Amino acid sequence: MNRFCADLCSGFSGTGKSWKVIPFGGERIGDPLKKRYVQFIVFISVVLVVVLLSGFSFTSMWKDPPIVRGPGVSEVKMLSDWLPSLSGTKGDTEVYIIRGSEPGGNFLLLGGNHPNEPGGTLAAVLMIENVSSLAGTVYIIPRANHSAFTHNDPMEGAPQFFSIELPDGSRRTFRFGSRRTNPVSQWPDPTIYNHPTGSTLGGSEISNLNRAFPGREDGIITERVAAAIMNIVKQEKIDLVCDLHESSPEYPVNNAIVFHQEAAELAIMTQMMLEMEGVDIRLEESPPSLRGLTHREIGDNSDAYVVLLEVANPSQGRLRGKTTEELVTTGVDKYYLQASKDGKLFAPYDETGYPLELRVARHVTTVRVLLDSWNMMFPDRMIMLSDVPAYNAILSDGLGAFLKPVS
Amino acid sequence: MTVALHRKPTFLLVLMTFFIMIAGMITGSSTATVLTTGAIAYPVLKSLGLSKRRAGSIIAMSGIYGMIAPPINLPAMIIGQGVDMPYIGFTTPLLFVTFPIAIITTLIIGVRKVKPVDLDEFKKTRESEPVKGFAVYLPLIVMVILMVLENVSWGFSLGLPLIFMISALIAVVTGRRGNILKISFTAIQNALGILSILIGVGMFIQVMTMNGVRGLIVGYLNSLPQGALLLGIALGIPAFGAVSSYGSSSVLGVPFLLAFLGSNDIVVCSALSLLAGLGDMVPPTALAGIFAAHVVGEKNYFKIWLSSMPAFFITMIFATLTIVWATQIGRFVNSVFFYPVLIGAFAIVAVVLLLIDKRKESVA
Repeated sequence: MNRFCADLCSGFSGTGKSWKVIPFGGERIGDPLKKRYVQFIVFISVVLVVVLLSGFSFTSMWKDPPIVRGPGVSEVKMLSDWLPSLSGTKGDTEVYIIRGSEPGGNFLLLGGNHPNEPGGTLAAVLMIENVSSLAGTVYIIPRANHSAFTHNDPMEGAPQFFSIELPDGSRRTFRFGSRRTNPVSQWPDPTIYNHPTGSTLGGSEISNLNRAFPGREDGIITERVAAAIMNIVKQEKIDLVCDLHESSPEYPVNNAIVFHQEAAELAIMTQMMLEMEGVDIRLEESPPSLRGLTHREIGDNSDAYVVLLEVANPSQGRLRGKTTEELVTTGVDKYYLQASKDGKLFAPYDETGYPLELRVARHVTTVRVLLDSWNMMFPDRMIMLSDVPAYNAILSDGLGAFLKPVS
Repeated sequence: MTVALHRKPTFLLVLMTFFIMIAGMITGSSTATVLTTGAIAYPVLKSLGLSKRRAGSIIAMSGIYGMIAPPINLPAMIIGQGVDMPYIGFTTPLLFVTFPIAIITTLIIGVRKVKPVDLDEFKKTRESEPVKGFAVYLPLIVMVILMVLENVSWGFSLGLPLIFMISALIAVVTGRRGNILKISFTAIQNALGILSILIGVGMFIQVMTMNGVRGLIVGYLNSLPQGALLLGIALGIPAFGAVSSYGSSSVLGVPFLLAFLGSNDIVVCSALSLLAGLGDMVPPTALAGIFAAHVVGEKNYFKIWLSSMPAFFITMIFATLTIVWATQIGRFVNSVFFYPVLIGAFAIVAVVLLLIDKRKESVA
């Protein structure tokens, strides 16, 4: 044991039968062994403290912040109900079901596909806590890549949490997660990711849920989550899928509806109606060669109409300055302001930034108008919602006004 | 090959460069390239009369060119992912930005120093090796096969850590007998230096991002006027690659590609990936340089780094000019003339190299 400790404190050298001990700090072979033990114990103690503190910080994101069941929620199931092998894993997550009083179409709303895009998650949460259905059934998954909510991206300096004040003075806290599945759930990434469709992607994309569709039931966690969502689409005969995202302001696909070619007419009608309400939005057709994304794979592998919504989020961009909770909620950033003046951005940007209220309001309103367009095009499969938070009300009253206090 | 071409040292030198690049082309990693084909090529480079410094330089730079050459180029994939550009149509641009410059820089580093291989000496060296024959290469061969399988077949994924572990275990059986525990401790000791650099650099980036310095740098570079922007790209991407060539691709490569939208995006992305690859030669991490130093037994990797500088800067200038003329280059690499011109150019280069060797032989 003494020999082992001495070796750990020092090291080995030479190729002879005996091990030659070289202490740290150079040729101090004459130092008493006791001194090295003290160094060893101090060093290990410091390491232990750092590891413990880091561990507590890392696991602090493993607890799900509560989502309050709104008056319209009839049932909460788990994703594993559609793929039992997900049960007990970090990939399992809640599916909120809002059943209408009248029969109609089936709508699947995805939030948290990328947990570092909080506008999508918050919009899904707002829908869960506020809306009811008059016709049709709505399935909402607010934390689609649940595992990715349990950590955030290394070297991105992002805050772990952000909070929103409610009218009663209390605060609701949410996680600012990662674009990718937690390596605790799935590790290591291969050097390249050969998507089942034949497309080649960088290895880290294997843990990106929005590159994993249509998924594999016997695959790794991210692929299984994608397969479970595909099972919902097929087994529940989903008519319409909407996937909520955010994108950095320097990214060309911004403030946009990305649509599968089958959903082109629906997307165009939605854009026209949004323009009439004063909400500018672009249209982008899903590129056939870009594989693994919801709008491409769910559209290709099911009968559902699929769209993906993007809204500008400075807190995930590469040009951002100090990365704080305030940046996540206000979207105010001086470097983005400069980039906007230099004409480098694909989204309008001024001193008011891109606050979370605006991002969520855009998403919620686009979903409402999307459903209005759907109802006009498919009156036999109506999906009619009530109590959808209004655009101006979200902007004027704030998100807190539409979030329920947690008892 | 060495025996057959022992009187054609310049030609053999260029062939060895291509040989070293192969591992990078299929693994997408300069480190894996240096440690596999680089390690196999070193005895041949040594027998050609190259010093440790020059051999290490050629191995390190070839590792980078191999990592960027098609079919697998991770920096290009990462930059493409940032703008949702599929990894399609990259073969000819990546051939264009790697093979010609690999030939040129190898010749710059080694052409004046190579001499015909002394076959007797070479054979003696081989005979004095403790383990002979196919067995000595088995761990490397298994490693390359597993990495290739991982890269070409859907669903097969052992992960790099397990692949290296399997190869190491095979080496225990096929290589010279030794004390496994002692070897493991030594390996961990050797790795600690690089690990501590990587952890320190990761913490540095985390802090730089949190306090906004990263945004300041990226924003500043991105706001430069066109000419200065090119200079910023040429210096900024490799410099940031000192942290990680993949990180540099993501943080700087994406906005710089967006800055050149409207040109030929695939050619620009290919050139940016080459600049990002150069980051593997930039201290403090300088993974390609450090591992090349290990392979050739050079204690001070800065000697290899210094020896690589001409090749480094020529590559940097070449990549920048490729961005400037991306539209025209795009037209050329996508035309029916590309492959005939490429093959013709290789043939001419081969003839020239053989002539150089003939002249060297006659002088000798």
